[in-house]
Amino acid sequence: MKASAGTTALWSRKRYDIWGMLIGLALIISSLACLLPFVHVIAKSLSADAYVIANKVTLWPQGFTLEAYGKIFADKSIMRSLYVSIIVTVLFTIIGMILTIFAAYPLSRKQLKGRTVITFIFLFTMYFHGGIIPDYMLINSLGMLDTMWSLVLPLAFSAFNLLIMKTALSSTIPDSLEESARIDGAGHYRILWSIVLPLSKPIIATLSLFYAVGRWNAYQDALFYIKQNVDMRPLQLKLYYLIIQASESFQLEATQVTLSNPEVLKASCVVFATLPIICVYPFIQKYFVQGAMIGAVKG
Amino acid sequence: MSKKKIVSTILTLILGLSVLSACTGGNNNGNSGNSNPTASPDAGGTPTESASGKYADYSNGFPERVTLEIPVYERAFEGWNVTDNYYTRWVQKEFGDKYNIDVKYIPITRNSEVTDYEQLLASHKAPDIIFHYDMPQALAYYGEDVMQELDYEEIANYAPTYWETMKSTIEQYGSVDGKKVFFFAKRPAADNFTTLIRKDWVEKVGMKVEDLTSLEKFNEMLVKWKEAGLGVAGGSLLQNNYTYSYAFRDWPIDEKERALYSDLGVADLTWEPSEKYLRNLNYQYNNGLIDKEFYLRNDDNKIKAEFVAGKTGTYGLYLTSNTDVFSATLANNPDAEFAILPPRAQVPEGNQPQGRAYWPFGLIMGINYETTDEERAAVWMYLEWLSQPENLFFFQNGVEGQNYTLDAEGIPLKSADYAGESKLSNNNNKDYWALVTEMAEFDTPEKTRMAHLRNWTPPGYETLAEDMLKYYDETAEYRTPDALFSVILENVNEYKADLNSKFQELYVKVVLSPESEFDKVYQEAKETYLREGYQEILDEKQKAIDAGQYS
Amino acid sequence: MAEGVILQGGECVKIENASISSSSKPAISTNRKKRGMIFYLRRDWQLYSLLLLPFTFVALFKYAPMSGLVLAFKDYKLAKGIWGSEWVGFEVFMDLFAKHDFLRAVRNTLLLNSLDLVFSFTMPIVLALLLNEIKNVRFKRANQTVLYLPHFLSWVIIGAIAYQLLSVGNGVINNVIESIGGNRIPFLQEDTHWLFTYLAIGVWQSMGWGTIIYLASISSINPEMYEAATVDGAGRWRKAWNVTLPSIRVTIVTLLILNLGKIMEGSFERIIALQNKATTEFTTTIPVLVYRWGIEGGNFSRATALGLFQAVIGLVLVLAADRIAKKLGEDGLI
Repeated sequence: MKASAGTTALWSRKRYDIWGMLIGLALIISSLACLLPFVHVIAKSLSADAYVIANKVTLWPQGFTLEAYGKIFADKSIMRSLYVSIIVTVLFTIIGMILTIFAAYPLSRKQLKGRTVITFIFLFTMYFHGGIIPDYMLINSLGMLDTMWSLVLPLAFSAFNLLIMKTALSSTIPDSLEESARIDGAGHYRILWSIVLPLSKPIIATLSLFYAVGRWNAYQDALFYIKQNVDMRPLQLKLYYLIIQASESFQLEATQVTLSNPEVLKASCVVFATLPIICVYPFIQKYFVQGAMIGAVKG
Repeated sequence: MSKKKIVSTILTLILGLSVLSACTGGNNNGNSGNSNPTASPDAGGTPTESASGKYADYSNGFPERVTLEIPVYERAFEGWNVTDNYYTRWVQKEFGDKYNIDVKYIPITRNSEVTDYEQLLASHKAPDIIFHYDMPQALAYYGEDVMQELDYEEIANYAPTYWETMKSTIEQYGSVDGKKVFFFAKRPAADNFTTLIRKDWVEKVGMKVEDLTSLEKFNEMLVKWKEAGLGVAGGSLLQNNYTYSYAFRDWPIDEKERALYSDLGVADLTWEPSEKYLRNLNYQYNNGLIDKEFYLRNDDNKIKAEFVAGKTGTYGLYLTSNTDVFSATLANNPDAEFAILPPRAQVPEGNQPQGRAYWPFGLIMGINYETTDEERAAVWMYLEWLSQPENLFFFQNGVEGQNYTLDAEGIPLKSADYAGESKLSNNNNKDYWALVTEMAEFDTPEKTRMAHLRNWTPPGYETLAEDMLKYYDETAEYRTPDALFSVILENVNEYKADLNSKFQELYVKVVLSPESEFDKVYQEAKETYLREGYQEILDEKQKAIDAGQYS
Repeated sequence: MAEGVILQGGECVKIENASISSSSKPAISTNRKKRGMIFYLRRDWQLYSLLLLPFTFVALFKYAPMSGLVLAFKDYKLAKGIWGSEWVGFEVFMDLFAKHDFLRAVRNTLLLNSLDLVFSFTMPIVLALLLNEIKNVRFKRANQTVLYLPHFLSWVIIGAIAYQLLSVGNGVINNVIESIGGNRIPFLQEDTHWLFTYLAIGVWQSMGWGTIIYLASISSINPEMYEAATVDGAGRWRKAWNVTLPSIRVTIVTLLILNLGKIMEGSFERIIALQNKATTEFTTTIPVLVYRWGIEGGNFSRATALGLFQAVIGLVLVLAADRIAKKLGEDGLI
């Protein structure tokens, strides 16, 4: 619904329109540039193998077939991977957000002694890592190998997200607000729960999205931590294996190999893995509505 | 807030936590459910002596339950659990239970295998066998001190059949720095890598495939292809395995020169045959006879795409019965016909169709330094059991009547799409029996050949497989294996990765330069290559050659 | 509990902490009395207790494995483990710096990342401002959802598509250019062109996703401020400059500092997907070396040393940028 900005002066409407159109045009072009490659992948996923191999598929499927998707849905292990990915992502996001909020709120309070040091301690971890072997050894000694927790816990806390939230909280929760609450007798827990959280919905939604998408797309840690327990493989790991398998030329193995992963399957796996997470965004969007939260606090 | 205070706090913290983790990290001896009895980390493989002879006799089983950990490649085949399936259970029943051994399979992800091994070794969870297909990496493992020394007599005692087959290979190639470390799986001489050519294109320009008996004739044909607007020869980026210069080498071979230059992992850019190869490639490139963007084709899919689309007329592949290249090409080019490129077609007049022979071994294996004497004996016994023809056959083919039926010649005919309980893995359980052999063999060479043909013949293209084998036999005498050094070549390890990348950069530059500038660019390339590590490699190798430390 | 100590944030208020937000708290430095730690723990115990959980997490999962960093100073032998391996001091680093490709990699990394900062960092801001101008909610949402798509494609796929479109031989775009009478352009097959294409693709891949955080900040702007600006006679662009931009300034500065710290890093997959062997001037970067030496070559000591090098530089840059930001009146990161 086109709601024109209420107090736009009449005489500038003409200029407004031209700029408005140009902006709209620029956005449409950018969006097309982002959409078309995805359409291309979708087209590949619906095409016959022979044309995909020859790179003849551009934006429209050639030799339309749903065979690859049929294979995906028939394969129980892919559905299982999807399930694992969803659970892991949800847990990861919840735990990550809790940790981030618990750290960001105190650190955003200027009266906290040692604030700089503690922030630095967190910041430090963004740069220095022990490496994959010490990481593996730690997960091993904690007994978390081949379990879901090796995917949920180690990376759950992101210093990057912490710093973003901390600065956001510093600027959106002014000390005056906090002071008046404390004068009213509220402790920090109350303030966090009743004031900070409701006011920070946009940033919480944003960071939740970052956590969720980050976890959904990444598979490098699953590659090392999930070995024996085939059922626990997340979707992106499964996808990775499928693609690797399809490109391996089995050089050293001169036996008959049943290749079951042609190009089309690769494309359909990509679509299959991406669609769920894209669908999450519309639900987050309502938190980004302008000015909705300011009014809530005032009341 | 003084920065000093911050820094000192941090450092103390790290130090403190490091100490903490040292307690957890430096002490992991057989934790997390690993039933490895305390390991004796010395390199000596002294066998257990017993009253009844030099080696303990376990033919009735081990007195105490032994855990045997066997590595197996994990390729993430759909629906296949590599550590627990019909065949692993069969092994446990037929072998493990018989000797009081717990057979456990440890999955090693195929394309991150080195990292996997390193992680397992660092946490002391590595399997009893440490393996790799490439000698340089196997040597690298050895260099990390993670392999025990072997006693050949022990192997002969526990695994006579296996030892009989592999004795000469192990004795020739299995020692490093004077220590006996490696044992091998067999690699029978067979190969199904071949080059396809578009027969219809050849005939369209008035030639015959059989007439392509030299590089010169091949290039002539390419010129005709170009004039007729048909297409170009296929090309790809040379990477990882360098066998491009064989056709340009002299025959007979100078053994020392060959040992110095010919190396699968490090390209011999500065050697004369390389120059000839590059000159030819440069000629082909500048005259539009070859895929102009060959350097972009860095994996099989990309190379195949050009052939399938009908842009290139040649394609190298492992010919198997289920390859999709024919149907895909026909879908895009309905008039296509195929033939095998004769072996001399890429060889200059006067040279021989030389090629690289595989070494007689497949998997290179070593025993984990933490493996106990009993476990090591169990390894030998496992190899022995696996080497028995009936066990091998079962592993490779499955249950008769279900997975396959025997045809008149006694060769198993696989039942298509069998999905029962005893289904084999997607590569026919290869990763299990690869510990003893790379390929299925039968009692007579003829039978083996026939079985190979079965595996390698795409339906409707029987002549192709026949031709491929015919050419393979014809060129047998010109196939020679590379030298294998019995000392570790430090410089090779040091520079290999960088030289690999550098070689690709340099040779592409050389090929893409105008013909008139070839000599200059090639000379520069040679100098750069030598300067960035190749000279040191050559020096090191020369020293080893002079000391006779190769075979 | 409130004990009348709730004044201007206690003692030692830094002058640089002048907040730009709507609170008009004067920054005065009062009460420089030294108070013991116990006092603060008692006063803010709730805050410290909240910090306990993340702190334990970080100590366990991040600091515990950090002992692996010593590998940069050791000759790592698997059999000896991290603690048993021999100490070699700075030898690994000397080796590292002497490598032929190292200097080139550093130059390329700095070059590519700095240019990325200029283009890929600013584009989402511009896009966010443009999106903010859209009043039609459905159009805005549709655009947003589509703009995010590139973020979800892996670099392998993007690389394949890039070559399909842009290769000199049969790239779709070049075919179009040729058919309208132009010359084929070697987008990815000539060094300078490659650089621009690399940057452009980087912008394309990250611009949509990058708008999220800015839009989140924008959404907390009080609409009354826009109304006030309109009353003052501000047109569209003045409003963007004077109302929208300042409100997201904090976010911009934070992200800028954080990204500066990544100047020695970069995406390995992105380079590998877009590089080819004929155009190698800019394609050797530090992440590529980490992969080549660390993962491919298995030289763990060297890979750790490289990582340490990246980390030290990154941290120094972040702290320096933070300092500068504070001097310029921003809040800074720490």
